[in-house]
Parts: sequence; structure tokens; C-alpha cells
Amino acid sequence: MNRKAASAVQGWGTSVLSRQAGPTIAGLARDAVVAAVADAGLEVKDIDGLILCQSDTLTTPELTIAFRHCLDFETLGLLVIDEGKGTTMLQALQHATMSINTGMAKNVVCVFSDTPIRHDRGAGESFARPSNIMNLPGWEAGYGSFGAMAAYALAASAYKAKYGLGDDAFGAYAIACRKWAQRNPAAFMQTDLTMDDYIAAKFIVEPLRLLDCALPVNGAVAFVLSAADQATKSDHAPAYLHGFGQGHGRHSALTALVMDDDTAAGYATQQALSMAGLDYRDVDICQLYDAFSFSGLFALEDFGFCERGNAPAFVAAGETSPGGALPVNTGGGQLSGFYLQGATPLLEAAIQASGTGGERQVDRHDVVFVSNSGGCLEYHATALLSPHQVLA
Amino acid sequence: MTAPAATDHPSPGTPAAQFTEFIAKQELWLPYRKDSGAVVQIGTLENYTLDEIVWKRASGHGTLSALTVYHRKYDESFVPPYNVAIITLREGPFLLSTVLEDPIPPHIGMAVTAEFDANGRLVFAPAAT
Repeated sequence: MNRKAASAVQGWGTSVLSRQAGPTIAGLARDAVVAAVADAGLEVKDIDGLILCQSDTLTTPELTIAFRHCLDFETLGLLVIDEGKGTTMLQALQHATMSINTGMAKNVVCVFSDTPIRHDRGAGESFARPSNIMNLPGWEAGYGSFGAMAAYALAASAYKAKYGLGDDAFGAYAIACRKWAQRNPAAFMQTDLTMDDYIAAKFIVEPLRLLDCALPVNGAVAFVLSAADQATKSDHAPAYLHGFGQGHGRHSALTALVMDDDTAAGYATQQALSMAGLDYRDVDICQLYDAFSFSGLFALEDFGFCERGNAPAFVAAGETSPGGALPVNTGGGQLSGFYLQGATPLLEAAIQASGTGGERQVDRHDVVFVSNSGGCLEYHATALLSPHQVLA
Repeated sequence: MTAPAATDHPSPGTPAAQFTEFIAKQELWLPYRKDSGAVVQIGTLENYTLDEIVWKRASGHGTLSALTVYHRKYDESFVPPYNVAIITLREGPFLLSTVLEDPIPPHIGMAVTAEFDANGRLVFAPAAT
């Protein structure tokens, strides 16, 4: 049975990525769109669909549909803002594909842009809102429970206790990602990382250390999608989208661990595999949304690539590192590469699927799995990319 | 930094507001569905009206399910290190709170009991053995 792709990612590009405050969200988005359109071998006038991915860290929208006027687009047949917390980027990819296949648009740009680092606040402050685990306004501020870390650190503590893991439980994951980053010129963290370095890193919210946390940057990433059978004008091969799914369940990682239940990550994976006619064993590479080392490990289990409780040993055995059985986050991921929410794993997936990964290119890259996760791993979106337009 | 909003509270006349009103009186009551009798997770209270809920006083007994220690200062009112925990009550619902570190250091899986501290906050203490 031959299975045709649902769409093709023809090109991609980024703005300048920076740890310094600088250009606006719209300005960065414009740079990324221009870069992606050029990478696809197209011109701005060829674009007839635009999906703007809104960062949920913003209290007021800074990327509105008026962005349409920032570039010299012809009439757009599709113009929308997507916001689904950490799942936004892959949701945009999915919505673009559906729009292309219904004839709304031929060449759709999806762009994510964020500036967590501002002149008046650092990235830590941008993410340091009172947590909302209890859904009781005011409750968590009364206990000093703050930031995106609050729920993840609680979940990580429950995970460690459940499987009897030690103080170094998450270290191997951070080290594996750093090894990949050292092969990626665009990654921000390039220095050697040992377990001693990891253990010596300060706790932010114990059990999570500084080296367990993503590295936020200011920047934008854009992708150009078209029909799967549209001839490419790019210098590189397209990355074909063969399957995608979503899973938004009752449980977050935290409540799943506390209540011994599952999130809907497995559902999102099954949807994507089923659409593509593939099995877990067909996946060569995983690009996971890993804002924390714990979430990368948990994702390996939650999306179904490792048995429950086995991910730390799988990673420590080198299976996700260069040369391992299942390369994971081959650009360094969000810990050692850069954190631009769901755009980080999708960008690396497109690079690997098109065979343009340079020193970090994985030989076997027929099927690349991508995840996006938001909240405390309660909202999930998935995609499967491949260099093949038709899967045999 | 986003400071905690002092006026941030559940909408009046809702089960969530009722729950926090009990807490303000230093009482821990739990919500149950009037139709099925099933206990309701606090985080899902917004799905119910007051008419759909009956309240029962909680046993106050629970288990420490998750435990974090803040080393970064997020707010002037909270000087690190301090802990934030998840306690699963014997009746089923879980609560975000803090656990007293005296007389023994807390650990996940330990039995705890509810009490109110000098500021009227619901906290948990290691259960007497």
C-alpha cells in the first residue's frame, strides 16, 4: 500500500535568534517569513495563506492579523491567528495542510515569533506568572507557586518518587541534548557538559536545576507549506507531512502522575501514525517539545516510545544520543539549542527530513516524529515528516 | 515580574468561592456531586453550580504526592528555600499546599494531616504515628 503525503513543507527560515532584547515580535516574524519564502524558492507574492502563531506568554497580542500589511502580499485566501499554548506551531502546520487540501490556499506560511527577553525583564520573569494547577484564582500565589516550572517541578518530583530515581535522574537527558547541540552551529549551548557539571548546577525549583530548563531566546521561525505534489523550487528537498494528530485529555503530566492515569499524548501519536499508515517501529528520529529535561523523558514514555519508567535508563544508555537507536532532539532541543516553543522541534524535524542537517544529520531519517506539548503536558499535537512523498 | 494579584479570588456564588470561604474560616470541606455522590476534584469546580454540589467536612488525612523546593525568589513575600507540595486527600481530591518540615523532613508518600498556620493558610504536617 502506497501512502501519499498530506502536504509538503517546502521551505523554512528564521530571524536572528538572540538572548538580547531587540526587535519586535512582528519585526522578527517578518524576517523569518522572508527567509522561509526565499528558502522555498518562492516570492512573497506567491503566498496566499498566512497563519500567525501567537505566544501564550503575551498578556496582549503583539502579532495581529494586521501583520498582513508588514509584507507585500497579494490577496490572502487564509489569514488567522493560532494559539494553543505549546501546541500552537504544529496546530498551524495542521491547519495549513487542511486549508491547502480544501483549496483555500496554495502556499501557506506559518510563523511563530516571541520575545520573552525584554529591556525591562528577563526570560525568567516572562514565564514567572503564578501557576494555575488548582484552577482556584489566588490560591497558588498564596503558597509562592510560580512560573511554568511550578507544575513541571511537581510532576518531576512525583515521577522521580514513582520510579525510585536518584539525584542524577534527568542529567543524562541534558547531556545527550548537549552532544547534539555541539553538532549544530545554530545551537546556543555548545560547551561540554558532564554529569558533574549537571549535579553542580543550582536548583531553581528542586528537583529541577538550571540545566534542566529550556534556554529562551527572542526570535521567529517560519515554514512554507504547499500541496504534496507541487514541484519544489527550493534548493533542498521538501519535508513531506504524512500524519498528524492532537490529544487534549483530562490529565496533565502532574495529575496523571498523581492520579496514576494517562495524558492524551498517546492518542495524539496514534492519530498521526494511523493517518500515515505507520507504526512506532517506523520512526527513526524524535523531535520532542522538551522545555524541561523531565518533559523530554516523560514525553518518550507518554508518546509511547519507551515503557513507563524506562526513559531515564534508555537515555542514559545513549540510545537518544548521536549513534543511538532513536536519536532525539538532534539540534540540541530546547535545553541546549534554543527555546522558541513548538517551532524548535518542528524546525529540526524539517531539517532532518530534508537531509540538510550537516554534521548532525542522521543517516536513517525516513520518518521523523515531532511533538508539541503545552500546559503541563496536557495539550498535545504531533506530526510525522519524511523525505518521501509516497511511503511504500 | 507578575506580582500575585491580592484581589484575585473566585467569582462569588460559585462552588470555588464556597470552598475558599470554608478555608477562610479555617475549615476544610470537600465538594460532592449531588446526583451521583462522587467527590469532585477542586480544579474542576468551575464545571458546577452551587445547586449541584453538597459539602462534607474532610477527614484532613492525606498523602504527600509531589514535593518541590523553591530556590529562586519569585516574590518578596516568599523567601527561598520554601516548599510547595501536592497532597492527595484520603477522599480523593488533591490540593496544592505546603508541608511543614518539622519535626521530620517531608518525603513523597508520607502521611500528612491538614492544619491551619498562624496566617490562616491551609498547610499539612507529618501525620502523628
